Amino acid sequence: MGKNIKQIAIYGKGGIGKSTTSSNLSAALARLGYRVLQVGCDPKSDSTNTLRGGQYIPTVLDTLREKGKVAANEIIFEGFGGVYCVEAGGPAPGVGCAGRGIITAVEQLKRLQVFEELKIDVVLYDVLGDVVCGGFAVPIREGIAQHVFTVASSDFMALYAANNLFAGIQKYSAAGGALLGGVIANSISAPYAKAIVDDFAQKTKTKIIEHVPRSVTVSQAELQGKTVIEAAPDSDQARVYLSLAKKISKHHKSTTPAPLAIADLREWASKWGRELLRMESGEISSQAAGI
Amino acid sequence: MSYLDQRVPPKREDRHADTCLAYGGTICGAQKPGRVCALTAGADRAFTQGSICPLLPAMGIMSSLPDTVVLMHGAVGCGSCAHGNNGNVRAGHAARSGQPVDALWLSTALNEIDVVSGGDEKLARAIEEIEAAHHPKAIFVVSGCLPGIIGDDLDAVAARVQPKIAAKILPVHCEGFKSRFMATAYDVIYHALGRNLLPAPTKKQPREKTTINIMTVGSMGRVDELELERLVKELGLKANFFPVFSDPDSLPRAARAALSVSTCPTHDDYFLIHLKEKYGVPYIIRHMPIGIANTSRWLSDIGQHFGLGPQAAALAQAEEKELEKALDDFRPLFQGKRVFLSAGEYRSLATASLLRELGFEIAGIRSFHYDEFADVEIEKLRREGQDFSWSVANVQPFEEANLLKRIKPDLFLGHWHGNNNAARLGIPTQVIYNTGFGYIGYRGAYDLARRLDRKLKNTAFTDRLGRYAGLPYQKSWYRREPFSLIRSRA
Repeated sequence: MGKNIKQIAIYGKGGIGKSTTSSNLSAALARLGYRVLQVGCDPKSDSTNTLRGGQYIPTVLDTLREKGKVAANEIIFEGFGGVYCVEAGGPAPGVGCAGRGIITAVEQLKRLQVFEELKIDVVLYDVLGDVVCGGFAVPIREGIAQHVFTVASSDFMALYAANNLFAGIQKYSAAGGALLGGVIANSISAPYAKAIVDDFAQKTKTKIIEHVPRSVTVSQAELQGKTVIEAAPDSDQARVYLSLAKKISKHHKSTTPAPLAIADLREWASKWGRELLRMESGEISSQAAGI
Repeated sequence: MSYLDQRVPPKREDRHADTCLAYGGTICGAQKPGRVCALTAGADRAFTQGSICPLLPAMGIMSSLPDTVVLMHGAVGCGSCAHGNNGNVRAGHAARSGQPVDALWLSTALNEIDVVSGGDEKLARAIEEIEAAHHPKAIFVVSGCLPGIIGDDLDAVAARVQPKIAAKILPVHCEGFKSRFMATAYDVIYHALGRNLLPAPTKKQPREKTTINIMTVGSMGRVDELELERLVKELGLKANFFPVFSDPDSLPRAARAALSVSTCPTHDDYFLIHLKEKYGVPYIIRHMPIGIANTSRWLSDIGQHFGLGPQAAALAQAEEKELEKALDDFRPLFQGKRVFLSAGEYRSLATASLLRELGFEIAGIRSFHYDEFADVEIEKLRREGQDFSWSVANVQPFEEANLLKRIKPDLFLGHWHGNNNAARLGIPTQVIYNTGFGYIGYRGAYDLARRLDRKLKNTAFTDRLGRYAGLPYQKSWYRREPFSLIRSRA
């Protein structure tokens, strides 16, 4: 391998803003001068839409299905800022095996050896983050990605998914799997939201790499089929993504997280639940609670 | 609700909670106060070797049915066991129709993309292709492991394609990973046959008053069917044999019969109960007609059901008398010879009774599994004051090798693929699953005796084999207790 390619996997629960974060991160990295390849690993195949003016691209698996073999120019498409876009694809909802789809698509990419040819600096895998089966763990296994970042909000379900992912990372860490770079805290607006994700990161021995606030700019950009970096390059939100991109471009050392045991996770969540209830009922204010 | 009202049949171990596949000891050692046999249902081995998945026996039954095609839905290797069984299929057809017929099976050969996208469409196309190319009466659509994992819906595909297809489509749920008991295969097949080939029950069920269902197993040959047919005919009854080698069109007759009789309780109970519940066909599930006394008991049960008890008793007596005389020539050679038996649960125990009757001593038995049906046969052996080594194992040749080295029997009886360990240790072997020869009923007892006589008169083949061939296990394994790798999970 000619140069050191940084391979990153972005995991997050469905609907948490993982594709938005990935696309904006890719666009921001491109703006910083990096050659980026984003691989959408979700059967919905819409990870790279905002890099391509809202357009869907043919997926690796659809191409394989139709032609029996894939060539690089059939599955790799250039998007905003020169970001290369790939969608793994997958089965229609309710049939087949999406996990195996990811394995197959990633194998095809490996076979094509496109990273060297395109002189890629950063490969970014955007993966459905509940890690429901072995297939969804492929980007963190077998030395594909080196660093994993998880997108999570303060929503408990998102943190449960993150905790599952941490368990997956821990499991493969001894066998050369990817390690955890940190948590990208998304849609953080309410003061308690930051406190919850910060506490979760501390408990699981990881760090928050960026707090991304909820922003209407994101929705506006996406309605135009664009990333914030493209649609509103001078906005505050664009600056947040650029800051994230800089941190990730400089990130070198990932670690093994310490996922909470199920019982501990429940206990932790219910403790926060009681806290939030007390805040809501006015028993304490967030200031008084120190958050 | 009957099991057959559900799309997918239960696993054998869920239906019979005491089903066990790991025990090593003696037949009397398995006894506990108040229970004929108290084995640990969850017992397992720390190491297992050479067992099979339920697909193998299921393929054996399916591929015997004339005018049917087996469509294996799975990876290309699944179902290839059918080739090993094809000789039996050809011979079985030849014995029944005079014409050898090959088993016809095809595979959807699911590839990587099928696994990702789901195999339903490919399955639908394959069914239509089979209809166009072969025009069978029925198509078994069999789920291997892959469709079970990715969730392909066999029943939905069958229902969707059926209006376009003349052949009856029979979804068969036989994912190998689901059950480790090969007996699950019997339920799986009866489930498919019962759901798809039986008529809808009517208020006044038509009845053939002298027809009895005799349920067959794959290891019975036509010669065995003829023997049972001969016996029930003497009582004025007509035999309706199924499922092995039975025409799909003949199955509805099973619902009209006056009685169902099992020839192997652990093989048949699923379907007998269904015929009783849905169509009011009474059943007898007690003895296997292997062995002299067992055949007489089997016959007596049928006679009594039809009010023909005295006739059945007289028939049995006459048969036994004639047989005893014919066996006299063989007995001196058999007397006191020690034999080890390997077979399916019920058959192994019933064969032990037969060999006792021939004058052999039972040195050990390996049954493929244990469930409550075996109790009646175990009690028969115990009543004779018999105790011997008993291994419950889904094959496990390493245990068998160790056991045979210790027991050193004079004779080994086992399935056609299961005799090699014994033969390589120099023990004369007899194949029990040779469907060209008789085994069942009075005639079967004689046929087996004749073959054993030949076998034991000249043991040169296994003597030499034992001298020059060996087994691959290390000496340290033979120093260990043969059942030392059985773990009880209880």
